[in-house]
Amino acid sequence: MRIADYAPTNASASVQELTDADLKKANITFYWVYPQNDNIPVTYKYCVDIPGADADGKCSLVAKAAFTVSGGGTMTNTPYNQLTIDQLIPCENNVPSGSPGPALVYGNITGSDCIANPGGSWGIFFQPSGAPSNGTYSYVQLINSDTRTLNTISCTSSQGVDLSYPYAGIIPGTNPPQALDAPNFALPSGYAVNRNFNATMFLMWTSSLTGSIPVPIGYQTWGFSGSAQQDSNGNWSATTNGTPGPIGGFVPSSGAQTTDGYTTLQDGYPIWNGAAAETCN
Amino acid sequence: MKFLFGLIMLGVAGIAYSQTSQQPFTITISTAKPEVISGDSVYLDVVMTNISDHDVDCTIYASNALDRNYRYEVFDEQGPVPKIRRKYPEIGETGSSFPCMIKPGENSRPSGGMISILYDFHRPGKYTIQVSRPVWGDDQRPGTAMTVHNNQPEVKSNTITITVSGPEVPPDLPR
Repeated sequence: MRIADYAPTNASASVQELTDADLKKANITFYWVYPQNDNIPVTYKYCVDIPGADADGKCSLVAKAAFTVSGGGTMTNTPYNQLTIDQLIPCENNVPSGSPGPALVYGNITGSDCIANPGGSWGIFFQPSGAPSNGTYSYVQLINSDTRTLNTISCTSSQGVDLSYPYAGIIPGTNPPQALDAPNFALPSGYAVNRNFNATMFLMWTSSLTGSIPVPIGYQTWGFSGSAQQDSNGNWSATTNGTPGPIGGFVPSSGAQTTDGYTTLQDGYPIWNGAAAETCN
Repeated sequence: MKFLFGLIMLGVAGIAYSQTSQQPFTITISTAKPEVISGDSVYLDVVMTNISDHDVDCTIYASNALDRNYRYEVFDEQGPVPKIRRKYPEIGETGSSFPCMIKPGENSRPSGGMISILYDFHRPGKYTIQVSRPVWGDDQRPGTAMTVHNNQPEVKSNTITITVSGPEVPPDLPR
């Protein structure tokens, strides 16, 4: 039986069953234990209200135990090493249509603005491993910053989740699922452009036990910076600033985390106010 | 007379077959927040279900907070709501394509996103939203998306209603 609404007390108490409906509430309070190699101490005793017994006679001896919590998992990444100019077919009314045009891409993809060829090279992709087998992985990507300049026009993205939750950029047929990204935009003729992008990919895991919720395993921040220039013949070339891809290493989640260095975390959980959206001025 | 009846039945069968072959998937939209206050963002979840006997492409084009591989139609109580005019339409928005494939009987991962990036919901009232997606290529089989052009048949979703309450907050437009 799962128990709800229990407040620790030495007095008598009553509890009620935690139902499946309770677990589906948006504002439910839940608990989980992050992996920890050093022992987590737990003490336990119980008391029974025995009429006439003195205080010592009402309670058991204290039992002590120490737990090593295993589990967790990790996430590796495979970054592409530069920004490229790819010729992508534009989309008109949601269908690829017309002649290919230049786009500044982190990665090296073929196809269309709206349909990437799976045979291309993504800017980065992520591979999970190590979590218990009786569960599933998913991802959350938060955009930390994304700025573009196109001549005198400046475009800035708000912080937020990348499109939707959970992250939808999964390589088909991968098991466990691998997450990908290859940010790009079509290059308008006559503009000098540059872009700085920074995001954090969170790896989540959900136990297969009924009523389980996703918990964070860890995260990896990544990004890229570069520009595109057009010569007098109208040909584009890309410049990559620094080394694109991971920024720092994979960071295992813990309950003490309040930030990933870019956005606020809550007990290690990624949180956001909405989808990241761009405004140009 | 029997001949005419036979022709009619053949025609009906032909139309039914055509509709089945043109609709290898269904689209279901929903929202976690059907009631918002003026100035709030409006979000959609969009899920495709493969009702064909073969794999179906469900590629996502995540561009500025919205999956642009769907067509979005929004109506308020006066009629169609026009799309928000972008401040610099000559420069494209950023995006990323996410390949997606669903097997017969399976659902896609939720997509959609923030539809208020495309339509203005600041005016209090009721808005209805419907989503559609053209059938690409060979009956939406993966890898055939670029073998067709515009004016393809399309699949429409259910409709949902968003209620926006006041006081009215002036829109921050154009973007």
